Parts: sequence; structure tokens; C-alpha cells
Amino acid sequence: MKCQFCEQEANVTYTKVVGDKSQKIHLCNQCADDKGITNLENFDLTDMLMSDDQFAPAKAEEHAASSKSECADCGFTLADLRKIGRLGCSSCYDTFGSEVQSMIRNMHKGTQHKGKVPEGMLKEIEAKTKLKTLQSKLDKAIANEEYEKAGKLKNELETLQKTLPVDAK
Amino acid sequence: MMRFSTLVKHPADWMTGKSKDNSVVITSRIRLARNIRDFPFPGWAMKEERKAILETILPEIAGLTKMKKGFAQELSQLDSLQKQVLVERHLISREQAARSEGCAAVVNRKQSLSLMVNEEDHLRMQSICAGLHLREAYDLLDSIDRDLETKLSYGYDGNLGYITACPTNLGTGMRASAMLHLPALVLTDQIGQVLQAVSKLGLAVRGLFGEGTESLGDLFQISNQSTLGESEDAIIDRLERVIKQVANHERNARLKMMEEEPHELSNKVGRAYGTLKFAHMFDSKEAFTHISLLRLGADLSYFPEGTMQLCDALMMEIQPAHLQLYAGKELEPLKRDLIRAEIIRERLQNLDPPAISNIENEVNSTDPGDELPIEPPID
Ligand SMILES: [Zn+2]
Ligand SMILES: [Zn+2]
Repeated sequence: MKCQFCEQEANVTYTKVVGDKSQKIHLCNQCADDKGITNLENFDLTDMLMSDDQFAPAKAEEHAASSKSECADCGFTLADLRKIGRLGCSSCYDTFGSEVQSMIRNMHKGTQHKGKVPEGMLKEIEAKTKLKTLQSKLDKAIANEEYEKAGKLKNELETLQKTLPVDAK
Repeated sequence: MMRFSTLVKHPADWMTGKSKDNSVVITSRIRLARNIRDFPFPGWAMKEERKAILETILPEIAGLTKMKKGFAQELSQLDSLQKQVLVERHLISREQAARSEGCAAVVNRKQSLSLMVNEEDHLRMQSICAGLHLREAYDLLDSIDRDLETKLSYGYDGNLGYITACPTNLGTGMRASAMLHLPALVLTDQIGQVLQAVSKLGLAVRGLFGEGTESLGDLFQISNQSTLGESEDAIIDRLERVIKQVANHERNARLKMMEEEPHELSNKVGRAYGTLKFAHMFDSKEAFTHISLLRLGADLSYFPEGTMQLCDALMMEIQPAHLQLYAGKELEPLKRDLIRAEIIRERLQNLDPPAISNIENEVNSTDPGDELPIEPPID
């Protein structure tokens, strides 16, 4: 077996198995050293335990057209995302929403969080969901010219909005 | 406050845990990733922003009851060797050690909890314990997380869960993993099959492989791949189930070797013992190969109680930064090999030769009634 980076005989194989995929990299000692993959003198027991990076995230798909090209909050660009596979700040997840969605689909069991919810966040999330429902009901009522119903809904909506923290709106 | 010198003088709790069975599953580890709303992630933040993040998080985590009298340190105040030692102790990550500006680590006295600020995410919390106890490790971390979430405003989204710098960690932000010692599966050539089966279940397996299929020190890590779309409980349940099966296969393989090839086995362990005890130069790879066999021998009662812990401590102590800390200076690779052998000889000084009595084993094994049912490998 030849080293994948130079032509020397490979004597180190680094294997990662994930799902049906198994990725084998053959290296000579020297290249293994250079890449920091398996410096035998710097044995990777540590990396095995500590490193959490799974496969590098699948490249964000090129056709996710609806994403904006730069995050207004942190200046991170779509090109940055495509290059490093990570994001700049929380808002980036909104900015590059469709891009991220296409990455997530191949990465995880699902696209909806089913785990822990931080306390305090629970109320906020419930309120937000209710807010959305009310808004769509209100829109519908207005569209149907049911003004009495719309007025009631509007009051309800305003009361609920007051209970939310400023940055959650 | 605990000093660096005190920290390194003491082994971590998981290494000395004599009551817990960790002959196959050496450690269980849980890691949670959290970020503060309204700050860019550490990899994208400016130096000043990273400092502001640190000033927001550090007082809260250093003030936790569970971290009292622990080790709290800004990494910029440590030299590179000290940081490397922390990496080898699994207390900080290599990535964090390299960056250091605005980074800090808080470690509890038992070295079972380690909280890292400004790693890939603003806050990464890790809990590590001996044996297969992912649930306990999670519960411990969960209680800290619940404490912190009232003080820090975490980035969180109803659909994406905990917001993380890398989409691979979204959702629970949890990576659960176990480190396994699987020498018998390696020696009996079953390892490939078993690991393949594990990976088909959507779990990640990693090991450092040399020529063929054997890994360095026969050590393997199994962890969850997906963090979004499943609850923490579901992830831990599945992992524990699979890891238990792998551990059973390893145990069965050990028993089978004892019964079917006792001489080959005792020969291997005896040679490892002799080499470790008398050789004067070891590179990491060779040292790990022999220590792995010694550790196997310890599980098969060839050596007195405590030998397994000795092996685990050795595996940590013979890593490069620990060697240099021991020597008190930077070392050339050749010099490292000499000192590595010196430490091993010193540590094994009082360890008696393996107590092996194969003749008896053979007499016993002629009785078919004693035969243990060996399950075929999972597929
Ligand atoms: Zn090469
Ligand atoms: Zn952003």
C-alpha cells in the first residue's frame, strides 16, 4: 500500500467508520506526522477520547438559493460556511437557514429537536407557538372579513406579546 | 484553588476506581456543547469578544458548588507543555490548547468534570467516569447544566435545539462515548466484524489502526453520530445497549481463548510482562502493545488486584508531554523512548511474574459441563 500523500510505503492506516461508510486513509509515518493524524510519538489516545468531530460536515449544497449571502449580525458569509462547515453566530442559522437544512438532513436522525429544553425557554417557546397560531387565525379572520372575531384575536395577541421578553419577539 | 502541580500529581478518579468494573469499558464520557446568545462563536469571534465571553461564563462556572476547590485556569497563563499535559489528561482539547487566547478550563478535584470556555463552542462541559456508566455521567452534567441555564442565556431554538458552532452538534449538543479495550476480539480476528456491526447501527467507531486490523493498544471509541432528532435518553439507551453487547463479545472471546489456547495466551502475556519489565527503549506503539496484553492478563487474574489501574495510569504517563514533565525538560524522540522505558520499569518494579497455571486449566476444561455458551458475533 502506497501513502496517499506521497509515494512512500504506507504503514499507518487511520480508519473511521460511520454508518455504512468507512473512510480509510493510508499514510506513511512521515505524512501521518505532518498531518497530525497519528503521530506515533504523540499517540492519539488523547484524540480518540477528546476529539468529537465526526466526519467533516457534508459540503453545504450549492443550490440552496434562498439563503442570503452574509449574516447581518456577524458578517459571516455563505462562502465561509461552504469553506469551513461551521457558522459564525446564532443568527447565522436564520440567515443561512436553507443551506443549513440541507446539511442537517444527511447528518442527523431527524431535523426536529426532541431533547432537553432549557427551563424558562419552555414558556417562551409555547408562547411563540401560540403567537404564530393566533397570527394566522387573525389573518384568516381579516381575509374572511370577520371583523368582530379579528378584533378579539388582536386583543389576545397583544396581551400575549406583552408577556414575552423583548429579544424573543 | 487547586494548582497545576497538584492537579498533575494526582490521577483522575476514573483511573483509580477499584470498585467499578472497567476491564472492558475503560471510561464513559458525556460532552455537552452550549453557546451564549448574542455572541459570535469562538472560532469567528474577535479577541475582544472572546474575552467578553470568558468574563461572562468563567465566574458562573467557577462558582458552581460541584467545581469548588477545583482547578480554574486561563490557558494563556500556561506554557505549551502544561497545556499539552492537560490535553493528554483529556481535560482540554487539542484545538483549545492551540488557541488559548480567551480560553479557560475549570476542572473539579476528582478530575471527573471539566468545563472548557471558548473551545469550538462557548462552553463545552465534559464528565468522565470509569466503566460503562453513561447515564450517571449524563446526570451529573445535566445537574450542572440546569444550574447554569438559569444564569447564562443559552442559544436555543425550538426546532434546532441547542445552537452550536458546527451543525454536527445541533439538537442535544451531546456526544456520548465510551472507550473500550478489546484485545481478545483483536487477537481472535473478530474485531472487524463487530465494529462493522456497530457502525451499521448509526454509531461512530474509531480506533487507530496499524498494519492489518489491530489498533494501537487495542483501544476503540464508540460514540453517537447524530445529535438532532432524538432525545438524550434515546441516544444513551442505544449506545449502552450496543456497548454492552460489544463488551460481552470481548468477554466471551477472552474466556474462549483461556479454554482453547491457554498456552498461546499465557505466552503472550508472559512475553509482554518480560519485555515491559526489562526493555530499555520503547516507542509509544510498542509500549501500548505490551501494556494492552498486561492489562488483559490483569483481567484474567494473572496479576494481583490493582494491576489494571497500573496499566491505565501507565498509558497516560508514557505520552509525550507527561514524559517531558517527568523529565523536567523537552526531549528528543530517542531520549523519550529511553525515559518511557525507565518509567515503565519503575512502575512495574514490584509486579510479580504472571501467576499462570495452564495444566490445571486443561484438567478442568476436559469436563464438558463447564463449557460456557459462546454466542456468535452480532451481525
Ligand atoms: Zn507519505
Ligand atoms: Zn452570524
